[in-house]
Amino acid sequence: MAKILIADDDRDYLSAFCTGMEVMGHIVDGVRTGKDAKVFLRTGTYDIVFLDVVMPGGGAISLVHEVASEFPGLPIVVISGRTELFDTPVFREGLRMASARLRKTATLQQIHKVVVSSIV
Amino acid sequence: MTTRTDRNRPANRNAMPRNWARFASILVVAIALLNLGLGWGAGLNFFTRMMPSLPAMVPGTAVCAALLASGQILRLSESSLSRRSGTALIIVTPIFAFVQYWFGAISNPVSAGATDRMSTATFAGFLIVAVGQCAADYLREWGRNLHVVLAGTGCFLALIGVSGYIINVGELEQYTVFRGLSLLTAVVLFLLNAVVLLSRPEHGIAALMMSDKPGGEMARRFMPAAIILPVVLCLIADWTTDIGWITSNVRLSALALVLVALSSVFVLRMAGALDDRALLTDQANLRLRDILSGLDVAIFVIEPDGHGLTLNKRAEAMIGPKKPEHWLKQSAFHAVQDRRPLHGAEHPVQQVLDHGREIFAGWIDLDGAEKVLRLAAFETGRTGGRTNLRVLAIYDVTEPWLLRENMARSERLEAVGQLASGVAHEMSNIFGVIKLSVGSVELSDPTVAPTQFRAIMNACRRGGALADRMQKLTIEDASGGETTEAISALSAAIELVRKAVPSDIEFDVDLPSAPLTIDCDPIDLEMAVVNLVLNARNAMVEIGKSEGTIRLRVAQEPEWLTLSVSDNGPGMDAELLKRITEPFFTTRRATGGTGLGLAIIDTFARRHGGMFQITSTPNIGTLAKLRLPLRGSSGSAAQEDMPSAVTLAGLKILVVEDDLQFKGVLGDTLTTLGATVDRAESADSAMSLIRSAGPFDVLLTDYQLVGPEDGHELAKRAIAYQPRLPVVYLTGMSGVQIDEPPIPGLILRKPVHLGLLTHTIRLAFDTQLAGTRGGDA
Repeated sequence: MAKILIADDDRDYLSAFCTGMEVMGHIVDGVRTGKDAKVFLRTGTYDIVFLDVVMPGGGAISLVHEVASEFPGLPIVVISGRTELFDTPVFREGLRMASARLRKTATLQQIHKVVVSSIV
Repeated sequence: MTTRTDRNRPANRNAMPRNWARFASILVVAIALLNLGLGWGAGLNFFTRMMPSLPAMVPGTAVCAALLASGQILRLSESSLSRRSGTALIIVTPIFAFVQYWFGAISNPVSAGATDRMSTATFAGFLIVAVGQCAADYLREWGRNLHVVLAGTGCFLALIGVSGYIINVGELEQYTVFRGLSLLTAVVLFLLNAVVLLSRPEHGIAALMMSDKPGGEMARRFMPAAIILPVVLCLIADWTTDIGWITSNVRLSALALVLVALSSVFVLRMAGALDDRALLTDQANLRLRDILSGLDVAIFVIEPDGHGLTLNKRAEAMIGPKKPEHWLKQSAFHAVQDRRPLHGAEHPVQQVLDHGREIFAGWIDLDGAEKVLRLAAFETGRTGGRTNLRVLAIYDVTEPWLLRENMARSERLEAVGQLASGVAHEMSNIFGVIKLSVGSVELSDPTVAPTQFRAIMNACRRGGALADRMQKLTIEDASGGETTEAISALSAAIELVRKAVPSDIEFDVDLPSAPLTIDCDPIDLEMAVVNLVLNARNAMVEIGKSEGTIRLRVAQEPEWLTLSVSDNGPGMDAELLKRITEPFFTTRRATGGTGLGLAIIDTFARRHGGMFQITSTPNIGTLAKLRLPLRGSSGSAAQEDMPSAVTLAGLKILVVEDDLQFKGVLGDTLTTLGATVDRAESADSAMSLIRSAGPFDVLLTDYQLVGPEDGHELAKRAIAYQPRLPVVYLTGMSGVQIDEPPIPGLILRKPVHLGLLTHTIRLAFDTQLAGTRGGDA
């Protein structure tokens, strides 16, 4: 059982993710912007954070870096529906701080596996 | 440069004759002053009559000569006032001379035998000079050569005087007109007339003598001899008869003979010089033709009458056996866009020659291939007396034209690709939502419709894979993301290909049992194996070999996976081997080979930092070896290709992009490298940032911005506000054609590698610091 924070601007995905993770037995908070994510991270304690890297207004990569430096040791999982971006050099370089990358088409089991392996 | 010399040349050309004229006039004034001062004033005979027995240059003559020469000097000046007073002097002088002449004639009548008075020839000489000078200065259209005739006559009269003194003064004195003409006066008259000729150097004798062309050169070379030699000859003839060497009868014929010989030599030498010149011209023409033939442009040089035609080799090849005149008039051209025939007034050759416009036209060449031609014409400038030649240049622009068409097509494809990428992103999200929701329901109550849920999950998986593939289409380099367990992928491929190998061919496979992970798409690896095995099979089946063996080995070296496929088939010679990995090279075109199999394997290997190699011996067999780096190894060439990113610490960068694909990722990355980044999504917001938050160190902008203004228009505005701001442009993947941005800047094509991006930004900034950026005047 882990305490999870997820930031994603896609409302449907956010709610499906939260429901799924809760069903898997985790505690989940969902936010829709990077700013909220930072606020939540400061007020609560989380075992793992999921960040969508393509959000309106940008800032995802710097968010990754900010979270990584403000909360060292907190596993960051980058999720994206734009899988091709994972392969671009800019992304690969920019997302080195993330402990895992996940496609949005991942199943609950796959996400669970990432959570379990990251927090152990 | 050229225009400047052209403008200067006439002035230079006129400067020399003017200087000579000024010199001659001053000489005349000097002679006159010496005559008056030292001659008549101080009583030195030399300055009045040269020798005691000769007629003197009287003071009146000296004054007239000085007046005329001064008038001529004033005429040569720049100011119009001086020139007008010069004319006045020149007009007044003959009147003064007439008074002197008349007075002298009355007081010292010719019959009296006295010589110290102005001679008739002197007065006539002054009159001729005055009229000649006025004609030279004022007659332009009508009688513009009058001064040449007058001055020529004047020179002739003066020379009669001079030669009379040289040969026989007594004889000269026989003629009333010349009686009393002094040697000094004759010289002065000659000089004054020479000045008249030189005052209009663009015409007549002076023009020829001063010309920098071969004719002028020749005139200058021969003229002194032509004047001096006959005179000297006559003197010699005179002298030899005087001392009794020859009789006067022999003298005449000898003189005639020598003169004939002399003039013949002159004529022949001139003819020779002309021939040499003509030969040079011919050689120049031939060389020009050779040069034209080296050009990749068909050149037709058309004489003014429209008939004479000179072609270069390219043009000759183009028209084939046809006559050039006919080809130009009748050759069938068509419009490039719709292949509509162009004839009559639309015929491109006619249009180009008549209107001087540049025209593109389609044309079917002698082999039946369609060419796109660009036709252009120009006229050569007028040179000398020759009228303009017209030059028709025909360029073969088929390749650039096709390239441009393809470019337009690839731009459209890119747009479609970007759209697909956006759609795929949405699909990923949607499938993700469905998967997670189904998964949640499945977990919370596994009894609810398990079959249906499995179907939904399967459909989602397929949809997700499809979305992935669609997205992959939009980026060039898909390597790096995927890993494959090589042994299981290879086993599957071997099972598949085993069915295709005939039973009489032995298929020997050796795979290690431990799993090996490599960074590549399993499909690519499978395709490579299938291709190699099928190639080996085909080679053996084709020669009907019954006892062949195909051996497939996979071996693990410390950091590499080596896959080798060997056969004992017919093999290949070195020549064939060299070309075997070229795209579209195949020996099996007839049986459906595309020639891409080995090329694809080669590309695949290199893209993943490995290598592909084929060795072969004819009649022994072929060995194909594929080496791929194992995951985690450092042998990847793909990584070596990328320069590492440099720090951008301290740089203030304005990032202007509205690209959906990157959405701020670029700015984020630059931030992580130490730069201070401000972002804008349009030209307007960028400008307000420049005004409020500037100055910036670098402007990084998309070349294509959504909205009324492009990246380069933004750059223009930004430079106007912050001069010397370095600009870096970003363009789409296939590189939309950029026609030299008006504000120069470095150009980056997406997807951009981080190393390249940071180096580019640094380069732009450092160059600006050094102050050498182009575009700053």
